[in-house]
Amino acid sequence: MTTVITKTIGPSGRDYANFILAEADVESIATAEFGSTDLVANDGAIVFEADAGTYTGRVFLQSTLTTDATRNVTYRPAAGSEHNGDKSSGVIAFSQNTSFIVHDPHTVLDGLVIANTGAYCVNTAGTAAGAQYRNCIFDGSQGTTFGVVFLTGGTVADPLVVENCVGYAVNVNTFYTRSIVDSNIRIVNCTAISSGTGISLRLEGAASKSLDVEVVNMLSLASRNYQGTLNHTVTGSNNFGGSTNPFPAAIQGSPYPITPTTDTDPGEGDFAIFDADTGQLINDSDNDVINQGIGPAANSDVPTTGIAGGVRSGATTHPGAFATLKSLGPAPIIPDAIDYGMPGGYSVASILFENSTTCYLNGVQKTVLYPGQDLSLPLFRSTSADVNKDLVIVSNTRPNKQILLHNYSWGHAGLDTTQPLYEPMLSWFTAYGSAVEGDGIALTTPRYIGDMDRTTPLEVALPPGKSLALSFVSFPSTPPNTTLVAALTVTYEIVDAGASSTFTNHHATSSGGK
Amino acid sequence: MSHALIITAKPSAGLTYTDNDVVQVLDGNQNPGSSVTPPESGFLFCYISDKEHDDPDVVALMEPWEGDLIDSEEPELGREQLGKRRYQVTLTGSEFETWVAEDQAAAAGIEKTWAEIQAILTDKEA
Repeated sequence: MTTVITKTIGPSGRDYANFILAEADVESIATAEFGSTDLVANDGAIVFEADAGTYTGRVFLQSTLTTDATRNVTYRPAAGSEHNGDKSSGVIAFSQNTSFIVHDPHTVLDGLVIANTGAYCVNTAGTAAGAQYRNCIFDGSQGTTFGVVFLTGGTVADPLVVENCVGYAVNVNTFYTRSIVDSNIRIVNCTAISSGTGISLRLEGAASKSLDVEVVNMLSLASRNYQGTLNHTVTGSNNFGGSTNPFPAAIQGSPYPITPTTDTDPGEGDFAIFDADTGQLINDSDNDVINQGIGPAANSDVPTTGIAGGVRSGATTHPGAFATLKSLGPAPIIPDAIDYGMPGGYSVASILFENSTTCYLNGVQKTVLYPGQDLSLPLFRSTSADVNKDLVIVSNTRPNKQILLHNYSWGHAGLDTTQPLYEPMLSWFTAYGSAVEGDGIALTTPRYIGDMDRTTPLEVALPPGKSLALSFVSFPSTPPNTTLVAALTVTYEIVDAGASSTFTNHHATSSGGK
Repeated sequence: MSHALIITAKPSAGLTYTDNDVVQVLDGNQNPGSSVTPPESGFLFCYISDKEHDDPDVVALMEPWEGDLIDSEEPELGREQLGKRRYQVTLTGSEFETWVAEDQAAAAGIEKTWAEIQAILTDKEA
């Protein structure tokens, strides 16, 4: 098994203050840890994990390491430092003139935001066969010259791979491939967001060189989409863009062309409706590219997760970098992806209130449901009357799907058990206005939340547009510092609801008491 | 006010830079990292007492070495670059092997003026 050495990058208390110093040390790391710079012979790999923040300076990735597809050097965010699809978050590498120049074969850039105001966010030299750029955001929105991601090189056995990446460009090529050397390049599930005259994907061949590019599930949110010149070959499928400089017919998706828009009520036509901030597709019945990409079950080159998490499975998926859709309705807590790999054929959504910023209470987003925090005031508790509120924990915002809720459990997840808990208080589950979990919970003596762990079957179907709420009643006698559910796990299944189902937005409201 | 900290490639240390290349210029307030600072690391450290880290003269120390580029029709595209930095600063003495915080730099003997740095500066393209 390959030995992986992990080093940290960060402004304080880490192994290296920045990428430049980390890269400079890769040969000495390899020698110290594995005995030589030959990672393949020594079956070793080096992983750098960076803290969130902005790192300035041009980084040359150029060493004498011997690498292959798995014994290589990876640069990625530390846990908790991911960008989550936001180009202003996470680990941001910035240089005025080419942020990364990649010479080393098999280099992996994973989950970084790479920004630039000069020539290229990333310039891939012809020597970097097998380099992989995954889950990255290439931000050329402040204006680069030449292009945003430059790609030349790669072999049939070790192509350059760009997958799950979003590129922003202004008047230049977003993904710019060119055969300065013979080149084999694969671009899968990438999103190009471009304004002006920029082209999302350019293949610039040369008479004496080969340029073979496979492009799959690309989402071009631009006015100009594709251009191929001189000697080149393009293969692939399920690519979406507009009618000006269209993708070649052989690799287009259906429908084609599409019009990129951020308008969720665009009228007649075929549209790719996307979020202006991230490029993520929006869950909307007018969005014609949803699930029009080829899935990992039909093309093994398609990654099984997206740039911001979520799962791709089956024969179809969404084009572009995101595996999930952005929901405009409340509480998009359950992932969009359908994962039948769990025991029993269901997926599990772990809903941790302490991490949630999308909890809704009577249709209004609330952030009060933190473990140990005062739940009863000011939302809940009245000194003169009972108060009933519903916390919407799941909204089925998927047209033509319904969510089958099979069971649930909840627990205290490390609450301060010295605090008073929910007694006297009632809680139960409500599905779109009707109580569905029979008996409620009313206790005569205080108990810790952990005592409430249970797996009572729900077996409730949530039609499109309907919600499941966790409902509470507080009484005047409820202690003012009551803490409640800390973690809730719902086992669910997503199934087709039939062609007749319709989508209407829905906010659960007070159900009027048990 | 903090001054510039320059970090160079210690000769024969196995860094990916040419010996004595100016690998990085940092704000003197910044800790370069725990793997960088032990004396057995491959880096050397020196503060410049009369220059800030964003002074153009100091920033220029990290210019890439353009002298060994393979020419292409568009020099920005896919060029091969064999060297890392244009400038080298030759720091002699074991005291430069250990990073100390800026307020201890003078006592540790790892602080120089810009004029002193210029005296030990090599321009590969000169």
